[in-house]
Amino acid sequence: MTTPPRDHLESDLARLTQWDQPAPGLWEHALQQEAPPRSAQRSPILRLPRASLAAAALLLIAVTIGIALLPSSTLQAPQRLAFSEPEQHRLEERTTFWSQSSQLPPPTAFREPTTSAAQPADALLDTPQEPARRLRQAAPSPAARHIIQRITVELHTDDVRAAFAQALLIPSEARGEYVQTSSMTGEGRDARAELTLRIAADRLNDALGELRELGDVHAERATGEDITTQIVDLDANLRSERRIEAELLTLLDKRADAPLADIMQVRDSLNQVRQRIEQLEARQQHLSRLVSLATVLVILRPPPDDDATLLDGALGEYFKNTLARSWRTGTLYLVDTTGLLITVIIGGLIWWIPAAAGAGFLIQRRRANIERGRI
Amino acid sequence: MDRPAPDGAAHTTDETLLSRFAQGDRCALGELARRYETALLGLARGLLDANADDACEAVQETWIRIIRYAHSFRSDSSFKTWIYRIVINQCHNIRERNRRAARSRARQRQSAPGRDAPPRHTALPPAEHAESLDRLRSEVSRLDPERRVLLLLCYHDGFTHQQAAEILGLPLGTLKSRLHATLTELRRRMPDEVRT
Repeated sequence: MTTPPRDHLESDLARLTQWDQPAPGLWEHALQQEAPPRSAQRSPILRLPRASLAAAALLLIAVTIGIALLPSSTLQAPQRLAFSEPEQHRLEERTTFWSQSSQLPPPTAFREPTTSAAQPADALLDTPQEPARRLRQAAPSPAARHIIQRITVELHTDDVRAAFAQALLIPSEARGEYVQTSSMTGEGRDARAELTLRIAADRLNDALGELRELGDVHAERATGEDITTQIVDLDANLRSERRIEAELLTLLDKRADAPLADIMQVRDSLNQVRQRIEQLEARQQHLSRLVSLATVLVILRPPPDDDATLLDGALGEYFKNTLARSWRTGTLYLVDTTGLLITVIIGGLIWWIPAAAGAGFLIQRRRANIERGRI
Repeated sequence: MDRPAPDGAAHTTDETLLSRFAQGDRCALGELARRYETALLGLARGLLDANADDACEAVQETWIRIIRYAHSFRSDSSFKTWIYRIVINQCHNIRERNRRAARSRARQRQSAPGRDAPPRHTALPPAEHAESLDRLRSEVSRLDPERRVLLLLCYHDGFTHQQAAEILGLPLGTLKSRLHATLTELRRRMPDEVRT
């Protein structure tokens, strides 16, 4: 409570802050200046709660930004493999070439792998004419090329499972053909199948013809790796090693009475030569198998959705499929937008936190200023 | 001191009226003005050397801010405290503006007193002690802004020391000690005015 004034000073102080005139109605002037007159009836839109309007506006902005920033490839159909156009004509040319080469001694008709048993040494002694004769024999004729063939075929078929089962039957076990790998996933429109077939090079064309009958050829690619030089080098190295083996065996026979140390040394050398021969023969067999059996990669898929919607005069089915496709697309959009928002929010936390702290500080300071009347 | 209110509005709190105004009820603001405008004008005039024009400007600016920030008022303090804080700040701003203007005129004319110019318009009520009132006003004007506000607020419209302390954001003990020191200073300057 205020203490009663002890003197006129305090009473005069009270009079300093008195206003004895009528109130001039300054509040009305302020109201006219600050707030324009409002209409009696508010717009129906403005009747909605402000929070709902703000939330709807934010959602619309977020969806717009999300659609604008979505990568264009996100919503496209799964990318098809970058195959070139079906190269049937090229394959025909190459097939012709293969047919010609197949008339020559077949790739598998290499010299039979030698056993470890020694051959008569005399027959293998070098003669002056022998190296040239062997060179002429070793050098392949221009048409006798050794090619590792790889074919990739993509087929579209409505019944992937049936085509897969039929493709498994194409390799002929009697000819040494086999299924190297096979896989089958999904059902119905999501079914996918892949097979890797090893087909005899001389029967490749026939096998490809059988495959083409399983569905529509979407893509076909053929590659050939020429390993003729490797084969020639391998043959030359093998002959050289065998000659050395024969010479060592001859030496061992002729010098049976040599000191034991010398004999042991010769035998060690002989073992090394034999080891090299076996390695070369293994490599030769491996390359032989690669050349003799072509690798055919078969990919089986259902035809794209666009094809499925083009039904003959079935407008209702088209409508249903279009709705289904639109629903799926919209769902993908929603998922991608949600993912984008999560990425932006989580990835930008290092910025959001300081920004939020700064904004919170500014808001608090402004509120404090309002409370203190510093406005 | 609040004047009698119209029927039906006497028991409505200031905060309720402000909330109604924030929702669009203009009459609520009128009721608040009926309660506070006269008192605000008196305090403003006391802070602005009895300049009625400046006092009206300060109070109008106060109402503008009340209208503008009615939605932002959080009721951490009472509405009365809030509105008095605003008017005190507005008086301070106007006073600073007048001082800068006076300095500018002084520099331009290379004359005029170093202190504030005399009020452009005063409305002194007829009083027995007009001269002493004038002198008191002059001495109060010479005080620094904080002590001047503290002094006038403590003797304004029946304010209690607690109310004044809340408006100024000071502890009650601090306010009393400062008030006592200010009064002592004034009495020292105006020994003739002290009558026990």
